[in-house]
Amino acid sequence: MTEALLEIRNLHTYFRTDEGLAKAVNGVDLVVPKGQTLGLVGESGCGKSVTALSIIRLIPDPPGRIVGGEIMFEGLDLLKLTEPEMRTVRGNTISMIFQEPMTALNPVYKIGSQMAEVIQLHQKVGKAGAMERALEMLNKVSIADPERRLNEYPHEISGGMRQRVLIAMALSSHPKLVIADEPTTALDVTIQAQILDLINVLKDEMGTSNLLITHDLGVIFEMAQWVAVMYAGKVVEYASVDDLFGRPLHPYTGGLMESIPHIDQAVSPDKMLKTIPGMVPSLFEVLEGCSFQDRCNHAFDRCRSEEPHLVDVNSGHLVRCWLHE
Amino acid sequence: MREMEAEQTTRVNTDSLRYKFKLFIKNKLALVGLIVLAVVFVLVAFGPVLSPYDAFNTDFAVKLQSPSSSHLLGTDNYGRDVLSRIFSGARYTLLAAVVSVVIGLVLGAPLGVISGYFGGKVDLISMRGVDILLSFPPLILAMAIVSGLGPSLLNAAVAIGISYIPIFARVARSRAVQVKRMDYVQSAIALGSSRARIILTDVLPNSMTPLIVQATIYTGYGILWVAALSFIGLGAKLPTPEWGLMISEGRQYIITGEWWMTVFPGLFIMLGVIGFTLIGDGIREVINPRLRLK
Amino acid sequence: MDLWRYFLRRIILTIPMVLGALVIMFIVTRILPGDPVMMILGPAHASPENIASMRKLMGLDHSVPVQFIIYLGQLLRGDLGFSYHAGNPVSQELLSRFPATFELTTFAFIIMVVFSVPMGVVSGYYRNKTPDNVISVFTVMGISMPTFWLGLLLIYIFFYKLGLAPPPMGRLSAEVEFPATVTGLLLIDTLVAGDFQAFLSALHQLILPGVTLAFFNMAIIVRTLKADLIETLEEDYIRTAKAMGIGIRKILFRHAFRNALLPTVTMLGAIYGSLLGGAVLTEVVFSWPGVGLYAVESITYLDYAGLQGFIVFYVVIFAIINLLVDLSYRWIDPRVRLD
Repeated sequence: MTEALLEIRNLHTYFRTDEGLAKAVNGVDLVVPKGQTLGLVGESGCGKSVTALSIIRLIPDPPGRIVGGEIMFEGLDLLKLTEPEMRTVRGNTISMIFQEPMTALNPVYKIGSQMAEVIQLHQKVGKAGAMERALEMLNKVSIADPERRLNEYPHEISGGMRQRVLIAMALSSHPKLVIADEPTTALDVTIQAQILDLINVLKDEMGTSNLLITHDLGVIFEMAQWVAVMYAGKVVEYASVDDLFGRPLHPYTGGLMESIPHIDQAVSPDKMLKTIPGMVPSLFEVLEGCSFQDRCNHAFDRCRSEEPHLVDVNSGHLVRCWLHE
Repeated sequence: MREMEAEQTTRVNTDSLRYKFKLFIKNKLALVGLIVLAVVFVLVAFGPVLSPYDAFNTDFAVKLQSPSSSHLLGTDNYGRDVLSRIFSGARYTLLAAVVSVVIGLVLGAPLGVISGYFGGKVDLISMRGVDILLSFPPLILAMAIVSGLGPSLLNAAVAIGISYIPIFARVARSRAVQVKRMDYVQSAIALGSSRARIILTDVLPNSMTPLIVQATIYTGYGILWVAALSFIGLGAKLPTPEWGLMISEGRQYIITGEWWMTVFPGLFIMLGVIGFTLIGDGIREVINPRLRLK
Repeated sequence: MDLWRYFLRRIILTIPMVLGALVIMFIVTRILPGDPVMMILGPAHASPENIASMRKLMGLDHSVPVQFIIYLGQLLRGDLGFSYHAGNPVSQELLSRFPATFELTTFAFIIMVVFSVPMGVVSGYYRNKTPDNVISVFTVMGISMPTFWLGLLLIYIFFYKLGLAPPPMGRLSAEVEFPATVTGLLLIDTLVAGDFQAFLSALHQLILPGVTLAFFNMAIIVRTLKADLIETLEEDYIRTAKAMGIGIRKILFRHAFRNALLPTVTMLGAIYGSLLGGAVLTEVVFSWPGVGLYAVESITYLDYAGLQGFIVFYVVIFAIINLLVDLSYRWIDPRVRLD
């Protein structure tokens, strides 16, 4: 297996809310290999975004807090860094892109100004030099007429372009790891493909590793080399893309795959689209045993009493299920 | 981590009225507001009964006495007991404030809802009218109206109420515009419900919440404005023990050191306004979860 | 270029509004009361001959709409009537007294901005911690205190008890001479005349009424700014800034501040209007010779011409202020379109 750039061990991030204590991330382990893309997939509320925010430690406190675990990056535990140290990491060695490009830029400042601010923060350049680099980056993300864009305000450009600008900002200091949280979900379908292509091209060009968070298995298939499947705050399966799609081991993963409608599948009135029955368990309730038990066709006694561990069953293919342990 | 885990892990229903009331009470400031308001209410209802002396009884023998055991808040230049005047006067200021808010609400809210719901020409005309009212600086409009109607406490309340119309109209209108876009209203329209019915059953009830908050807060401000109008002679007439008027009467004595005639009525005004403001804030926090703190 | 067109369009829009306000004024003062002639003449001058000639003079022998046109004509000529209690034309009284009110209001405005902006930011950033709680006590008191009462209280404490403030009797203390009138604003005129002692005296006299006038609006600004800052800090672009490694100080002052300030700036027009209104109360308390005191005197002496003139005057000023605020808002927020 390739070298690990980022390794998360037993991460726990909880939130205190009016309704109780929510265990959004409840024991997550995963590895982002160097120079590759790890896809993090799961339903809404499974904890993928919280995991990402925990990596760069942007969990709002209150009401949330990272209560346990380690995040190893370049030999250091990110969770043990001080806040000033963390700030030299953010936007510099680890960058994050978010889902909503429409609101992610400050409306009262020009684009060039916002980009230059970030560049000047992490690199030793003056204002003029920063603007040059900003121009370079805009070219890299294939924005037409970049000089003009630098002088424009966010509301004067489209959503797709704004996402490109954000990608340019994120990559401006050549980070080692880029975390992208559903970067295309809020965009038009045609733009989605363009942005995903862009992310791939830049990854190869600049040698970054990507952590791509999405709920769309199709995107995973196209973009990732490795996949982690999350459910109810934990990783339930981790494998290479080929292994996962070729031989999904966890019943949840299987259910996800089956629920994707196939283009050549005949749809007749009596044949319904396959779904996974039941609902995601509440983050507030503590279940005994495996968290998937109520929705699993293969559940047996042990599943209801003991929680399975994440074990390697086939050289690099990990799964958290009593069927395979 | 252990401590966090040991906490409750069962879910709480955040939508129930009971929960909202509990949350309201938990907010200490709102609780203070509630207590203050209760005191004010008692004064309004039972003021004259609770007054140790008759509020209108003059007794020059004891005039201008500083607070003492027989006159807890002192006496004024006519020898009247300040405490009794304050207690008996509560109803004037407060009822006037309530009247002003009622006028503003009753005339302003429907105007705003209709304006927001129908849009177009109706909206344009109403909002121009509202804007005209708003082109007067606040106190000035009231002054204009009262000077036209003739000074009296009721007219002051009416004047302030009229100056409140644009405020409530605006709030109601923006809410109505929001509510109108909601799915349940759109589906009611699609189903062919009459407009009157939609407004009464869907739009109006859902526009209530911000109006309630505003009404509470502006009752507080109403106290201030009523007192202000009385202070400059456009409100209550002598010898009514209205709080603002009392301050005006006591004004000339403050430079010679007789402070109690001025200070105490003002203190009570402040208390009244604080009570309403805190409650309004409390209600607002309960309604808007984003402002809630943990 | 665009800005000029916008400016022009806004002026054109403002005129009907002022006109509407004047209609209301006209209705209220000429139609509602039983006999406007009696109101204008006052009890002392109401002899039958005077009533008849006044009726003719006021054009009350014309129909109502014609009366209004005449009224407008008078206004446009700057004729606001005769102020019988002052013995001068109303317009003359207003113009001579306006600098005093303007100086007081502007002084209060400056105090307000200088103190409330930092307090609002601190309160919003340290939400629910000690600094916020302390500030909140002041703001809650501030919005609940009647302005006129605060003024009297301050006089009692700082003049009567502590002797720090001057007696509340005007813009300059008795021994100091008025400088030559350049702007009518004493703080400027005294400096122009080189009379430093007078300058200090003018400043000294301004402090207590200025603080009194500012207090209520300070509280409102602090509260609004706090809420807006809290809301701004939740916005996505703040999260982006944090994710790029920008420190909290820069985020507060560069990213959050301007956005949080926007709603407050919109309110500035309304705030100045509130100051104009509050000035009436403050001038009464401090015997400040401005237009507000004039208005109250007019009420006391039943000088209705004076009161009407005052109201018309204020409406126009308020409209101008709102227009200016509108323009500045366009300049501050690049998203605002010139509709």
